[in-house]
This record gives sequence, C-alpha cells and structure tokens, in this order.
Amino acid sequence: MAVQHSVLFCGISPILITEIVVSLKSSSQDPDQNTAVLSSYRPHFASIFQSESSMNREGETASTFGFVTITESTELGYIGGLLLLNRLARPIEFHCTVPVKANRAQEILYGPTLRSYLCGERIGPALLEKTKVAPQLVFTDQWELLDARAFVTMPILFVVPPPNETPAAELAVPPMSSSAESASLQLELGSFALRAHHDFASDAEMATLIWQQSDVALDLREPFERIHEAIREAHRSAA
Amino acid sequence: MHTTGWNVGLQRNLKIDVNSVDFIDESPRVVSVAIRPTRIATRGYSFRTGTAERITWNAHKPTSPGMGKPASGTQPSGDSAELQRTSRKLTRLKPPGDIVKLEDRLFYLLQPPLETWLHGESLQFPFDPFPYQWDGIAFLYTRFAAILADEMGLGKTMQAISTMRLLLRTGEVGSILLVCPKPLVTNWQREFSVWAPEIPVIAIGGDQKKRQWQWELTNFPVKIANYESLLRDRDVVVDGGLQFDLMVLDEAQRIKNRSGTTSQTVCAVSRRRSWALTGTPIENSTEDLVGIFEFLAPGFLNVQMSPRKMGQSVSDYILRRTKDKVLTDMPPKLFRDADLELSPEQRTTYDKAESEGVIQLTELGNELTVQHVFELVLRLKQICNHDPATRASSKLERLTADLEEIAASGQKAIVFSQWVETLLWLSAELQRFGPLEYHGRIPHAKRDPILKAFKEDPAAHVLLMSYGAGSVGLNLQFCQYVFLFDRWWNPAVEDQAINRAHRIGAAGPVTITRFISVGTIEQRIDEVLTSKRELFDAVLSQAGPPRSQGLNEQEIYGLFNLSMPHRGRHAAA
Repeated sequence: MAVQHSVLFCGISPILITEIVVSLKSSSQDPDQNTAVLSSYRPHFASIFQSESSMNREGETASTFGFVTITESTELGYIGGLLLLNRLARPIEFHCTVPVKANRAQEILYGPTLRSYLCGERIGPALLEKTKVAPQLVFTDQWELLDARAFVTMPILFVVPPPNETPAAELAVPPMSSSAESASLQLELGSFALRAHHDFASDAEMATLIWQQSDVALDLREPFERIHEAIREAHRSAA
Repeated sequence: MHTTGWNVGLQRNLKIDVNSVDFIDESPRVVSVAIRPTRIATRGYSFRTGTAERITWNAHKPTSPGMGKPASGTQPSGDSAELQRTSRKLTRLKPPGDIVKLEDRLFYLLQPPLETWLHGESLQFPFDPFPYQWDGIAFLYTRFAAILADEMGLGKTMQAISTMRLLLRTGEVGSILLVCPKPLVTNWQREFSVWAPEIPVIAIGGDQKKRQWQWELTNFPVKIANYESLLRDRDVVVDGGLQFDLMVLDEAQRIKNRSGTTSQTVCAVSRRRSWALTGTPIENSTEDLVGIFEFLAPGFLNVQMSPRKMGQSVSDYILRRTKDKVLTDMPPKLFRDADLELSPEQRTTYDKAESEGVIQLTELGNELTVQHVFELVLRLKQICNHDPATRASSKLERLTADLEEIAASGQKAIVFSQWVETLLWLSAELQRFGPLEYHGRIPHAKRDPILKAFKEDPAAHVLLMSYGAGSVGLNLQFCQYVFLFDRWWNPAVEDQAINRAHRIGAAGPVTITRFISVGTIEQRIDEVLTSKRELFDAVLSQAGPPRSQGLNEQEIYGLFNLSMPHRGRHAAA
C-alpha cells in the first residue's frame, strides 16, 4: 500500500511503470534511442510539484522567502531571476525573464537611469507579480531592484555584500538612482547586513519581526548563486 | 519771425507710410518619440518542496563510528550560513545528462547545497563526510540509473545510505529495497544505524511465512534482502507486484551473468530507480558491465560495442574514485616491481617441475580439472620463493639487502606471503631483523600483543604476515615498507594488504615492493592481470585500475597453453 501511495503521490500510475519496463525491455540495442526512451519517462517534476504547491499555498506562504537578482551580459542584455524558498532553503518556485535589451532610443533618453528603470521598475515587478505563493520577504543583491518595492506589497531588502567582496568605492558611492541614494535604512538579520528602501521605513522593522518569528537560518547570499546557475541553464536550453 | 514760410510747413500733416511684413504662421513641427514601457516576458516553474517535515521517525543516537571524519562542531544549530562561511566548497546537485526537460534540470540545480539539507531538522551526519563522499551523494541523488564503483574502502556504503536518507527525508522516495550478499546484511544494518539512525530498516529473513509478512510491511521504508532470499521470494516480490521507488544492489557483479536466475529475478522487480554498488563493474570482460546495465537500463549496452564506445556511453552513469585521486592528503604509495632472476638452483628445479607437470596435465585428457592446474601453479610459485632442495632464493637475497637498509634507518617493514611455511622459513632466515609472525597459526589471543610489539619494540624491524590474516581490520600505518614476497591471485587482496600500512594517518610515503620471478608462472599471471587492468581502464577511463580481477578458469588453463576440457567460466580467485 505504501508503495502504491508513493507512486500515485508522484503522479505516475503503476500502469505507466509497467509500460516503462515493457518499453525498455523491448527497445532496440541503439543506446541513443534508449537514452531518449529513459528521458521521456522521467517524472516531470514541475507539473507534479505544481499541484502540491497550489494545494499548500497558504501553508507555504507562512514561511516563504524570495530572492531576486539580475544577470547582465552585453550580448543578451538583462535577465531577471526570482527564486522562492521555504524555510529549509528548498525551492518552491522559480521565475525568470527572457533577455531584456534596451534599444538605442531608451539608452539615450534614460541615460544613467536606464539600469534602474529596467531592473527596478520593469523586471523586478514583472517577476514578483508572477509568484503563486506570496513571499514574506524578498532579498536582492542588486541596488536597483529595491525600486521594485514601489510596485509590490512585500518588503524588499538589499543584502550587503561582505566587505572583502565589494570594492569600497561601490559601497560608498551607490549607483545613481533614487533608490540607491535613499536606501539607507540599515538592519541585520542573523549575521547578514541589509538595507531597506527609504520610502518604506516600516520594512526594516517588519523584516526583523518576520525573521525572528520564522525561526529560519537561511544563507542570504547563497541562493543568488543558484539563480545565476539556473539562468545559465535556461539560456543553454534555449540556445 | 517766420519769414522763411516754415509756419506753413509746420501746419501740414505728416505723411506716414506703413509697410506690413507677414510673419510665417505655421506651427513648428514636433517629432514625438513614444517611450513604451518595456514588455517583460517571464517563464515560471513550481516545485515540490519535499515532505521532510512531515516524515517523523524515532531517531536514536549512533552507536559506533563509521566512515568519515569526526564531526567538527556540527551540532545541529541549523545555521546553514555558518557552513557557507567556511572555506570548504559546498556540494551542489547537477542534473545528469539524460534529464532533458528544463523543468527537471532546474529542479536539481535550484536545490540548496547538500551540506545544508539536514540543518534545521535537528539531524546531522554522525561524521563529516569527505568532500568526495559529498560528490558521491550528489551523483547518486539525481540518478535513476547509476553505478557507484569507488575503490574498496572509500565508503560506498556510507554514500549510498546517506543518499537514501536524503531521498527519504525529502520525500523523493518512500520505499527502498537493498539487495546484498548474505554475509553483508548485518553490516548494512549496522551502517544504517550509524548513518541514518532515524530510518526504520528491516532485514528479510526467517521462514516463508515470516518473510512474506516482512515483505508486505509498509512501515519500514528500507528493506534489506540477500540475493538468495530474493530468489526464494520471487513469487511475493515479482509476481506479487511489490513496487519500490529505489532498488540498490550491493556487490552488483553478482548479476553480471545475464542469463542467470539471479539477474533475471533482480531485473524483474518493479522499481523507479536502480543503483548498483561494486568496486569491480568489470571483472573479466565488458560483458560484465553489459550484465549490470541490464538491471540499470535494459538494452543500453550491448556486447558488440567497443570498449571505447562503451566507456563513452556509460560515463555519465558510473562514478569511480580511487584513494590516490581523492585522498590527496595521504602520502603516496610508491610501487617498485622487483623482477628477479631465479637462482641457478631454482631455475633447474623450476624448469623440471614445469615440463613434467605440463606433461602430466596433458596426459589427464578429459579428466583434467582446474584443480590439477592449480596444484601445478602453486608448486611452481613455491619454487619461485625458494628451491625446496637447496633453499636457494633470489627473493630472499633481495629482501635481506633491503631489510638491511630499512633496519639501519630504524624503519619497519611488513612482508606478505600466501604460505605460512614460507613465513616460517623467512622467520628463521631473518632472525637478525627481529621478525614477528602474524598468520593463521597464531592464536587470536596472541595477535594483538604481536602487533603491539611490532609497533613499540625498536629491535623488531619486520612483521611476517599471511594475506588472509593481515588483510582485514588492522592499522599499521606507522610502517612505511611493504614487501609482497609472492603475489596473490587477486589484486584486491594485495591492495587490502598494502592498505594496512597505507591508510588515513599514514606517517609517510609507503613503498611497496612486488617480487616477480621473470620467466616463470609469476610473470605470466602478472601479465594476465595487467591486461585486465588495461581493459578496465579503457572502459572506465576516469577510474583507476580494477581491484578485484582474479583469473578465470579459462585463463588458468591458458597459463600452460592448455585448452579447457569443460564448458563454462568461473572466477577462480
């Protein structure tokens, strides 16, 4: 019974399992063909997991944290990525944008505010509004993404890089954007230093409260590595 | 006053002429550039978060140490950030090559580092796994078909159990069947109690009624069965329709014969994932690997494939590491092959014995058995050690010379032989080096004091050991010289012997001297074993040499150019 339950739970019927075995046994001796056969029968995690996410939506919301960042390349432009994690740092949702590249007119007219506009006003909100589960807090490692706070309801916090990884000049003179200049509300969650958007003064207090109540020990820098790797994988897949 | 008539002129009206200039009344042209908001297209994926928090088993403390480093301050504080700050490279899951759907690949890529998985769950590993063991866990975790082929002693058991534990705790699997040789069942139970103490494990055993009851139990996510019990209970497991999320075969070379009942029964069990654990996926030929893949992915390999093609095909499914590659902080092993000419007396005796022996074997005709050939091989190998009539021995001369140097520098050496008689003879010949003996004729009660004396007595420079007695459970890492006075059939046994001295904690480089008498049966055996190592390397190019490749029956006959009188191939050693 436990076996059947487990199989059904994962969305694969016993009949399908039988078909897999029969198909593999009767398959040809061509290794490439058999690789394809194996792959085609793999459980499709995304579709399987989606149903459970929906089912647990309310429960997950209580301990869900978002991590949003931007990957930039001269060839493709900007690609945004958003990862939602539960309190154990396991992924719940992942969203990424298609590459966003400004045209020449935008480059001229937005000037030095272009990056802030694209990241903070366009990409960030576009990602955050796509989540099925609303994260309690959103963390970012990009100054410009703090501007997305004006478009969403959840607090967005900038994770200050450790001093040895950030040029001193970068911290002392933030990029030219309104958010960067105003992002001076400092707070600490665990061992991480963060900054909140100046226009949302209550975010720092709320974030501290949520963090303490959630009793989590997330590494607030590590998830960004996952997002960058996932974006690379998605790009490779699309290429 | 106004005689000039100016007054009249003043009274005339001024004539004013107006010239109008038309302005251009068209509005300036304005060019508008529309700044439309940039449209952002997104793609989204949702993932199952696992059921770890919902699964509760009774945890209990580990009772004995296992493979791994002592845990260094790994109290279950749940602070995964602490791990991140350490200099150690964290282990991330990588999707295997045969997962093609982007969603499925992202599922693995977006998982947190393995080292953090049990944090926050009040659970931890009893010992910090080595980095290569984390890599092994990451390898197994993502694979539905995999062979873990690490060299013996690197912790295949620990890696498999830890991966099973993570899969169970994340809800990826719910039922596991582990099949192993009967003598290893209790070892697996013990290892589970160390590395996954909260996971309920049941070993299938007892009479038929009890076994059937055990098979149908649902509250034990891990069932351990030996190969024989699986064959006996085929009607329950296969015909009864039991299904497992994961099936693991230990010593998977047991199913290399595809037409055998064991292979057919194992392959018939319904399962989603299939793993094989073996240090020797290829014992005799690539057919062995084809046999194991019939369990992992039927039809994926075939015997017509060249070793190179086969190696390319299986590279993503097999993980093999050797101690030399992964335990880089260990001192090196330095091999010296001492190819020695027999002394004149030995040569005369040897040639006579071989020629007469082959004639006798030939005369046996169809009554010839591998046992007859074995007897001749053993007799010739003994002559290679020393001439029974004159006691002349080129090996002893070389050994004595080397021991002089070792003793002079205050070092110690272990000498291995397969015969106790040879060890007794050596003991008498090497008295000035303070020899100690450790072999099957030494009572168990006296063995530990002998090892203690060897370690502590500065006059005891040499320990004479038999392969059988000295191959398991001894730690002699203070010893830097090993001599293989005669060669064992199976390199795996030699390796075990060598690893008594070359293991974690070794004081320095270990020099291993292998004595081979040229132009003798020893050299022919060595050539056969070497060719097998080369075949192994060709298929498993990323791996080291095989560790358990004995000679089969056909090869033993071939040592004397004899043809096999009977069909069938069996591993002889």
